Amino acid sequence: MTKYKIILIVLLTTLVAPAAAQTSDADAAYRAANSLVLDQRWSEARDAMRQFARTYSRHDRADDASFYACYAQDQLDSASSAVFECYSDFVEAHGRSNYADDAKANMIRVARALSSAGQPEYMTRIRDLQQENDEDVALAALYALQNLGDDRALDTILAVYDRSTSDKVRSRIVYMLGDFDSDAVMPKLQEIALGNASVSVRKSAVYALGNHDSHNEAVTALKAIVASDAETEIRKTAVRALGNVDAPDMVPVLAELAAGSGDIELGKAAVYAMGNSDGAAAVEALKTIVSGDGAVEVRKAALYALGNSDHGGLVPFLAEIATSSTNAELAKTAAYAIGNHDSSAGSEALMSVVQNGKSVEVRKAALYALGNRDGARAVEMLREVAMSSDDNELQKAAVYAIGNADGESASRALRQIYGASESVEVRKAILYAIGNSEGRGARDFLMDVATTSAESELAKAAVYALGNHVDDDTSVLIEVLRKATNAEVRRAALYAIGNSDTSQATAALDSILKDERDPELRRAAVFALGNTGEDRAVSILVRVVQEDASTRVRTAAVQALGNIGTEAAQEALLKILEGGDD
Amino acid sequence: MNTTKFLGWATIGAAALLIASPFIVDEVRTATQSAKVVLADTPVPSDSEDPEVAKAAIYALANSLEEGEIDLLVPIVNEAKHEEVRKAALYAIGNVGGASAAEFLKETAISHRETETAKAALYALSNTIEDNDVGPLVEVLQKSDVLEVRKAALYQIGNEDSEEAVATLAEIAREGEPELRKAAVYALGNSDLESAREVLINLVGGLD
Repeated sequence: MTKYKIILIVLLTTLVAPAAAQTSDADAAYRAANSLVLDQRWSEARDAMRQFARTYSRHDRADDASFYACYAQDQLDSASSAVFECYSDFVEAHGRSNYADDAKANMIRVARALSSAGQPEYMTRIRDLQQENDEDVALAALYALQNLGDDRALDTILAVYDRSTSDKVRSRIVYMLGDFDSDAVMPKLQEIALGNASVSVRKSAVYALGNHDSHNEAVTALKAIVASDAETEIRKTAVRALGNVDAPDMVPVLAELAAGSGDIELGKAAVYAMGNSDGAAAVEALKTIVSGDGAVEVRKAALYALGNSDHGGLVPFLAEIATSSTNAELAKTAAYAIGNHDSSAGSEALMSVVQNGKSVEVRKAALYALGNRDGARAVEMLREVAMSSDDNELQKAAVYAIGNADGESASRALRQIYGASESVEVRKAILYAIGNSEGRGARDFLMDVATTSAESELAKAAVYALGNHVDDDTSVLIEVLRKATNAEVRRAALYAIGNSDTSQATAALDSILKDERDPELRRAAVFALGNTGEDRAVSILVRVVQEDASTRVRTAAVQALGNIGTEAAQEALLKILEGGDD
Repeated sequence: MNTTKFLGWATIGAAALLIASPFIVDEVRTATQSAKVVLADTPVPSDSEDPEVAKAAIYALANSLEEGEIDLLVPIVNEAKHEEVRKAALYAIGNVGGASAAEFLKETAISHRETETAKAALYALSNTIEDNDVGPLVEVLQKSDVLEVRKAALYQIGNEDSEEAVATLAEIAREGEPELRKAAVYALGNSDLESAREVLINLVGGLD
């Protein structure tokens, strides 16, 4: 059997055979190989496991098979360099496998045996692994001590922390301290958080303190960290930990931080921490921050927190900010925050912001927030704005917002607005919005505009929208190419075809290059081919370079080959340069 | 007698034991003897289609056996179709106890081709251990070729509160085969002995 036949069979097997049968075959093959392992038929087991790993390289058990292929080889000849290399390759290829630790351990054992047999270089190769193994064992011992959980175990662990210079060891110890229920832990964690360790270790210490949030000492320590001159990152972590403490006296502490820390990042962290609590005190504190004269970023964070709050009765407050704030950023944020309150009161409030917002930006924000809501009522509100507003920006925003809503009512609304609007910009926005929607109706509408609209701007927009709509199905674009009479529209269709990644597109462009009389369209087809970036375009472009009557088209074909840039394209260019194109 | 009849008799035997036990000791003895007579002539339920019934039968049978009487249970380990039935037979052998049971379980743990069955034999073997004698478990640790079984042996050794167990685990944790060291450490963590804690503290000393 020739090589090609084998490849063909493998391809057919891969592509045509049903996935279920593949899985079933793979499972049966693994079971058979595993049975050989169980029967200790090592030579056959090794070969079967290797074969499985090669054939089903993406199967869940491919790593198991690779490991067992090494393991079987190991059983046949445990002190061989082949076994060592097999495990080494396995660790490199499957470092995250459940068998990686076993493979590393086996490498150490095999290396020791090889070293004893006169090949000391293998010990050098496993030095890191051995250190890793020693450290893993020591850490396992540390965890075992942690599980004992008594004061002596704690003393040992703390002593190791003080002695260690390794961030990895210190971080692990800090996490362990989070689980120790001892008064001695809190001051130690505070000391670590404010000490000289790396930021990651110190943050771990703050998290560990957060795990002790029922201890007054832990809360006191966290407050002390917040009040300290530690880096913002550490203090923010402490603020978040305080936010998780379920105690009523946390709100004033966080509110004071938010309003008066002078550090925006810390203030925002305090606000978000308050947002974790849905209590009335936290909500009132957030409202006070919004209405205060603090940093805008902190006040915006408070608005987001209120937007995420389940607390009832917040919509009027947010609507008031959205319509009356002189700060556009705050007003927009308030509009988005209303958008998170999914109620009819929220929808009405957003409509009120659309009508009464102080700036176009704020009103647009309210429209987008409306567009994110489900339901025909929101679409209806947006349609009203798009039909009645005399501001193009608002109309377009309403159209985009409708485009975000799914369903027939949204499509119908867009088509109605298209029919009523006199603005080309708005109608283009509608075409793009329709291009993002699904369904045969959208496709037919865009096709109709692309092939019949007298406005070439609109027809072109419809083509681009179609390109978006049909994804890689280029048959519709080819149809536009056939039906359209406007050269600009046909060129747009060519570019849209070139942007799709299908052999159908390449064939269509090839056909145009053969039959089209207009050199500008052929040139557009050449650029479209260049955009595909595919090797299958190379031979077509080479033919254009050799045969096209227009120098402009031939030059474009050379440029397109350069755009493709693959090895095949480079080879073709070299041949052209060497005069080998004829 | 076929398997179905065996299961029927064994279930009846089990039910008889359960019902009679609270009332009349003599009747329990009679029922036990009857069950043993019936079961002794019974082929292995290797073709059982209902493992739950087979397991109930095995436990009923085991209750009727004296220490060391494992001949009826051994064929089940070797021939039963369902893994859980084989495991039940192993646990039953462990409950019957005696030197022959321990020997059989040890050999099964060392050489059974199925890892899960070998591990079940090991756990059953742990049940037969007296006076914290970890010798049989250490033998499994040394002779088994299967990593999982060897790790399981280490954990079982860790459950025995004896200095011999701690010494065995300590040696492996310090300088044993790389793939076993962590398992030995975890096993030490299960020990209630002060010496185990000392070993752990010393091992942690390697961290810097």
